[in-house]
Amino acid sequence: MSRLILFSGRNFTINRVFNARGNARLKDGMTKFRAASRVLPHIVLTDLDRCPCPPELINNWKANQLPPQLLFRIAVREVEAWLMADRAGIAEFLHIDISKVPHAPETEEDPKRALINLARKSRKKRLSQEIVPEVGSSAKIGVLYNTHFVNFVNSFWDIEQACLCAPSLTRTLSRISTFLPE
Amino acid sequence: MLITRIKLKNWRNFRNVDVSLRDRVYVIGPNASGKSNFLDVMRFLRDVANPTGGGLQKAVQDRGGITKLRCLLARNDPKVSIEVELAEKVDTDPLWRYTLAFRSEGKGQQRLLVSQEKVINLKTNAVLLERPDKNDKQDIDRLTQTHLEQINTNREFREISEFFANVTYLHLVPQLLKHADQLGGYRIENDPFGQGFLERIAKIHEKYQKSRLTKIEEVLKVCVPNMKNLKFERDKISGTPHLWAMYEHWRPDAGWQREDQFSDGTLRLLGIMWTLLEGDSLLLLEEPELSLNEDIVRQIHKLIWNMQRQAKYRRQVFITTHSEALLQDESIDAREVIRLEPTKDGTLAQETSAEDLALVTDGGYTVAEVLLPKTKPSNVDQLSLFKP
Repeated sequence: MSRLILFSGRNFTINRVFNARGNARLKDGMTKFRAASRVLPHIVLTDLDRCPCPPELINNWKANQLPPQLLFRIAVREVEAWLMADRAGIAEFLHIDISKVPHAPETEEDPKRALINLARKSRKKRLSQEIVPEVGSSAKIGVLYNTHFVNFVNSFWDIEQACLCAPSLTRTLSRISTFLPE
Repeated sequence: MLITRIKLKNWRNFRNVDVSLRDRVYVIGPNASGKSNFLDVMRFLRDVANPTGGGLQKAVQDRGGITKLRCLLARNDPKVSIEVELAEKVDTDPLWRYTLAFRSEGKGQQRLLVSQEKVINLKTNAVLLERPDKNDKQDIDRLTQTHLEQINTNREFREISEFFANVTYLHLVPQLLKHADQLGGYRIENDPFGQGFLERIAKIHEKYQKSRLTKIEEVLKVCVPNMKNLKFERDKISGTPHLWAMYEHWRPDAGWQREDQFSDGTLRLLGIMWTLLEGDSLLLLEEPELSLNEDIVRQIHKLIWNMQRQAKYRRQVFITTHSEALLQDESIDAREVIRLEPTKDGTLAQETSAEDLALVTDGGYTVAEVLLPKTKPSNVDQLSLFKP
């Protein structure tokens, strides 16, 4: 999110970052975010996950008619789709062939699994071991999944390229650039 | 009495601190930000005021001398200075202000000298003590001691001296208690790690012993499944004091267990609660959440509050913590938190800002949500990327 704000060219200072740890808790927090946005403007980003479409999620979360200081955005299916949307970047990072990266990652049913499957094909065995969960494990991600992709977002992710393949990312950026006009 | 304000200069990793305090103070901050050093200010004052073998020279010496004590970033001003304000109750005007500053002599034997010692009664605005005075100038040796540590000279402000002398620090290490026999009798002065906890219980009158144990038992029953009763007994042969707890068991008399069979968490809880009921001066607690189940950690704030309420004299408590669960309690007042923030220019001690306070009061965030992210080290996500 901080990279998106920086990319949008807006002069916002990020005062703090809350990690709600899971959509359920984020949903529970909506009332709180509404009230707190009066103290400090909020940008809330969530994954669409299994919800059929964004308007339905907005309805479920009662996230319509928000105060102007609260920007609510949804990453279509999952934020992982936005990472895969930088096709060249992710191919290079995971040491895979670019042709294996989907052209329309936002249409993927389960972007997290798609991303892990990409990592599985990595020519770097070690990287693949760190990102992919062990065979038979109940875990959905490998031990260093988050560590590696946080690193990818911070140091390699090309937002401009990603926008070409991720419409919901493009919309989020344009909304950030018009959020709370100076 | 309680400390309502504390100002520090060049104390360990703090160059400059000025914070207001309430009757509970949660000290938070990343690892090595100086949480224990902050508590050590109060232990230091206790060591200075300690009527049995305390004093400024010893307190500084015990901490490895002034070079270890003084902030490495101290520049022009070479002295270490501590100033505290004391009030009878929270949210009332302070009654006392005590200032102590000291430095190395700068020549000759490099003795440690008091460079300022001042006591003001803030009610009457009377300055009861201001050093160095005429006598000190005639006899420099006098400056090696504070008036706080001397019964002859602290008569007018003995209240302060007694308050400091009774400060308790507790970081109970259950293993030290459980393995007391094997470890032998060596005790650190003032017993910071709770080795002598049982003897402390043994020393007090049976009537108070029972009443406190009953209060603790009530709370423990909730936290420790199957525990029913708590009793204190001396070993009939050796006289060693022991705590016993009754656990529910299908054989009626089989369930009595001695403290060396208690869980680490039970022992720590016991120690914390007992100490809260025990004295009337400041209590310093180091990470009370250790070895406790998260659901019980969530109750710590209520527990402290409850014990403070039940105690004969309400103790002020300083608590260092890393625990999100502890600070998630919605009844914690954001003004009770002091956040330590390491910078290149020493650690800063911050009260909760007006904005953070508004996020809690108007926004409905918990103290943990607002303040803990700020103490998170910035690169922690990358911690596991170090290649072996």
